[in-house]
Amino acid sequence: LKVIQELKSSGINAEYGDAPKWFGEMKYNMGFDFPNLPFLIDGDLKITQTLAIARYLGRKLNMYPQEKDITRCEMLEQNMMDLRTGLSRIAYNPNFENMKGAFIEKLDVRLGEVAKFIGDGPYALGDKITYVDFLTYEFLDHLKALSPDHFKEGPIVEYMKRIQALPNLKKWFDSDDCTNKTYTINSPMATWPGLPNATQ
Amino acid sequence: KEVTYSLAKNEEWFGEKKYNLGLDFPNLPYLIDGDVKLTQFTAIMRYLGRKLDMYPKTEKDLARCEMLEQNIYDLKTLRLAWIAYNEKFEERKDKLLETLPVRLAEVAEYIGEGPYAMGDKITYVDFIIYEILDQIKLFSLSFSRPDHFSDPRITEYMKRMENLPNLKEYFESPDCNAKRYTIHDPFLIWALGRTTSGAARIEKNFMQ
Repeated sequence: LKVIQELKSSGINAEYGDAPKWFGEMKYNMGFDFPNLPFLIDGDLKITQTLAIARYLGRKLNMYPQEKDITRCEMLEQNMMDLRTGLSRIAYNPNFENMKGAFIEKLDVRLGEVAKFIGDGPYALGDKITYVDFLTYEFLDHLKALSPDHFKEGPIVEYMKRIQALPNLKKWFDSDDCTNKTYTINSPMATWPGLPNATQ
Repeated sequence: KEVTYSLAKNEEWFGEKKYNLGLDFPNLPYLIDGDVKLTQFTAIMRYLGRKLDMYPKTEKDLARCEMLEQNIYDLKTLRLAWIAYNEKFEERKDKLLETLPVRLAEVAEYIGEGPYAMGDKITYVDFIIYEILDQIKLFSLSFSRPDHFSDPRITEYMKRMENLPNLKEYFESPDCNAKRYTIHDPFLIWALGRTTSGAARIEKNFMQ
C-alpha cells in the first residue's frame, strides 16, 4: 500500500479505500476485473495488483528502466516480492515464533545479494530512480521491522537513507496523514502484524 | 514456444552450482541466454515474451496483462502455497475450496471468448495462466470439486493451450516432466498426506 503512496508522492494524489466501505459496497461495483486493494483508476483504465500499478506508474512518470536494464529491474522486483511473500507466509502462520529464526538467518544471504546488486547506487539500477526503488525500499523496511539487527549499517542502510530523503517522500513521512504511524505491515489479524514502521 | 526448465538434481544444485553460475539472486528456475543471466520465474517469462514477440503492445494492454499476471500468480503463491505450508491445512483448504470459484470466475470473465488471455494474440501470460490453472485443477480434483472447472470459457481455453503444436509435442514426449514432478517440493505431499484420504488422493493424482 505504501509503495503506491510513495510513488504517488512523486506526482499524483493517492486515495485510500476505507476497509468497511470497500467490502460493503465498493469492491464489486467499481468495474474491476479483479477487485482488490490497492486499486488505481486513471481515465478509463482500472487496474488492481500492487505490482501492476507500480509498473504502470513507473512507465507513466518516467521512472521506468531503459530497455537494457528492464530484465535486471524485473529480476530485482521479483526478488523483493519473493522476500515479501516469505515474510507474509510466516507472519500469518500461528507458528510464527518458531519460524522466525530460520527466516532471519536466511536474511544474511538474501540481503547480501540485494546489497551487492545495488552497490553504490545511488538507486537500484544506477543513476536513475525507478519504480523498483520504491518497492525495494518498502519491503526492506518491512524486513527491518522484523530484524532490525540486519539494518544497522552498510550499503542497504545507506540506500534506504537516500530514498527516505527524497523530498516528496520526506514530506509524506513527516505529514500527519502518513500511514506509517497507524498502519501495521501485515493485516492486524496476522500472527505478526508488524509494528508501524519507524523510518528512523 | 514453451519454456523448458532444466531441473538440476538437488544435491548438485545446492552443492556447487547455485552460487557458481554468476546469478545475482541464485534460484531455480534460471535462464542463461548469451550474457543474460536471469532468475525469477516472472522475470524470465517476461524476458522470453519480449524476445519471442509474445508481449502486449499497447500501454493499456500491458497494464492489464500485468494485472492478470499478478492475479494468477497470487492464486498460486498465496493460495496453494499458503495452505500447503501451513499447519492449519484442513481448515484453510476448506476455505480455499469455497473462494476458488469466485477467483476462477473472474479469470473466466477476463478471458471470455479469447482465444487468448489478451485477445487475438498469444502472450507470455497465457503460458503462466495455463500452468497455474492446471495446478489448481489438480488441487480441485483432488478434493472432488470438478465443478470448479466446469466453465467452458476456462475448459476451452485450456484445451486451446494444450493443442498448441509445440506444447502438444512436449506433453507427449517422454521427457515431459509434467507427469513426474509435483507442484511444490515434498511439502505439499506431506501436507496432503497427513490425512489418509489425502494420501490416497496423492497416489491417484500426482503419480500418474
